[in-house]
Amino acid sequence: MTASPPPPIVFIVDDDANMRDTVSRMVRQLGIDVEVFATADAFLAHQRPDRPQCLVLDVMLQGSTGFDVVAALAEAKIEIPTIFMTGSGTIPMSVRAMKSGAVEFLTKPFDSAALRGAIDSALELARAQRERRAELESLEALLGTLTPRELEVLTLVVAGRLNKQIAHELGVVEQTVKVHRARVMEKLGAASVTDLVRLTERVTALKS
Amino acid sequence: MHTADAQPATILVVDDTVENLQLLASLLGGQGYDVRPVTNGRLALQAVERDPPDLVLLDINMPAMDGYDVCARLKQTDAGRDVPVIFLTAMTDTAAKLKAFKAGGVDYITKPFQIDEVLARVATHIALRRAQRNLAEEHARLLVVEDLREKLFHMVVHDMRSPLMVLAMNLEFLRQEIDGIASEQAKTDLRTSIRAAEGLGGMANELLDISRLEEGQMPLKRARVDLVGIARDVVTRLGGLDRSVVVDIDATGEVMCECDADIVRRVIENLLSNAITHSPTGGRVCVALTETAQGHRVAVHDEGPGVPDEAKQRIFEKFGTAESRQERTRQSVGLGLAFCKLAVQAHNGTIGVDAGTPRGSVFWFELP
Repeated sequence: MTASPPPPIVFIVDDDANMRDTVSRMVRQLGIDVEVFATADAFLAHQRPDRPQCLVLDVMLQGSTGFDVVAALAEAKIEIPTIFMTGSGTIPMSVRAMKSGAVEFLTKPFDSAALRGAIDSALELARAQRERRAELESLEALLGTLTPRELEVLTLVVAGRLNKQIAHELGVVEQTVKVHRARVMEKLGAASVTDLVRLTERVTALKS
Repeated sequence: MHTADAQPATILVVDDTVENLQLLASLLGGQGYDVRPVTNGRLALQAVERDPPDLVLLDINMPAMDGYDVCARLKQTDAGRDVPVIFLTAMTDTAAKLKAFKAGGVDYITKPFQIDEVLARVATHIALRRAQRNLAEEHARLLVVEDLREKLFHMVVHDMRSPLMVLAMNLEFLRQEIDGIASEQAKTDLRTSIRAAEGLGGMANELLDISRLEEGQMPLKRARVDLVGIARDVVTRLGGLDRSVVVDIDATGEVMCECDADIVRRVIENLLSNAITHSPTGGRVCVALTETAQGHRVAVHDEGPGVPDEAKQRIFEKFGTAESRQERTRQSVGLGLAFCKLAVQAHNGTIGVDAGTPRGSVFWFELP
């Protein structure tokens, strides 16, 4: 789709300095860049770079839980695959973690192989999300080139209306509709009505 | 006073005859008891509900509600359930006495009263009641302590996990750093440290897994696996631990079973490492896998000293082996078999130990 994405980065939030040092070193050994944060607030306030990224988060944080952080991210509409670290992998906790959208759930102590597996799937998800966002942005930019009237025509064409019906609905002559329609096809690079339908359906799918 | 308690014991006296009430009140009051006289059953029930006494002296023959009825109702209330009731009766026949006990009375006193007998019976039952209450309070207090202890235990195990991981990983980083530059002695020292850290990690995992299994909180990842394959892996890994013990497998084909492969592997590891540890030099350990009517059976035969009959149950309890291990130094706090039992039970299986023939023991488990 796009040119090869920038190198990934892993964020670690843990209030235990020793764990931060250790897990960040484990990540660096995997050849991945890493940034650490002692608190959830510090991470949330951080300006994150435009790179594929994932979050490795301790469930038990001073003053808050990893679940709170995930909720705050969702609230802020920040999409970042999250891996939880915990000292007790009980069923309610793992269910809660998975429901909150965690990619993986690592029970301490875990080794580099387990961490790599978790980070690999998290970053894969991050890349997929990134591609989706990029595709959506480019399609929306394309639709942004249409005039409001052209957008109306597009909506009606995609809904299966004939030129005559569209002319009637918009209160214009059929010839005007034909002109709008041709311009829509040209701007969107569409060869047929099927292409238009496919494009609008894709936008709907990407937004969901 | 008749008891060591600071508060005088309270006695509710129920009798419709005022002379009896006065007699008992002055008699018991003179002994330091706090006497509360009432003249009928309804008032008696109200009095107990309001403030339960230490003892009730209850007349049987009363109009409206007789003593049996009052007692039976009292025993159905939360306030009155544990308050001892002594019946006061002019009747001396066995049937009446039996009826009194059946209604929930602890004793009876016949009229006319023998003063010393009344005082003796009252004192006995109050002492008994107080002892009972102290026991109940002590029991409740112990339950709280036990609960706290359990929570503390969880917390300690939980809090150990991060430092253990930090320790193990950093020793590993160190090993990578000094590879090729450190002396052989330094490398050996480091390897020993890494093994010890792994041992600690294993213990922490065992403790946590046991509490998770006990609370039914262990997530089981069930899949169809070949137990023979798992057993072979374990034998390959552990078989070389002690070169003086021969370890082999007795199985034909596969034994496919729906279970959590990782947990079952650890059960087999535990049983096998126990068998090897307890084997004499030149001994043979055999892991036999079979399909039985009950399901899939894994049995580990050893030629060790065997398990005494009286220990066969206890050995699977938490810390059940702790008291019996003296000279053998093992990286275990007596939790291995407790883990095995809970893990097998989590799979709805059974686990046990039998005497081996002609010697040794057979630790076995069966999974459905």
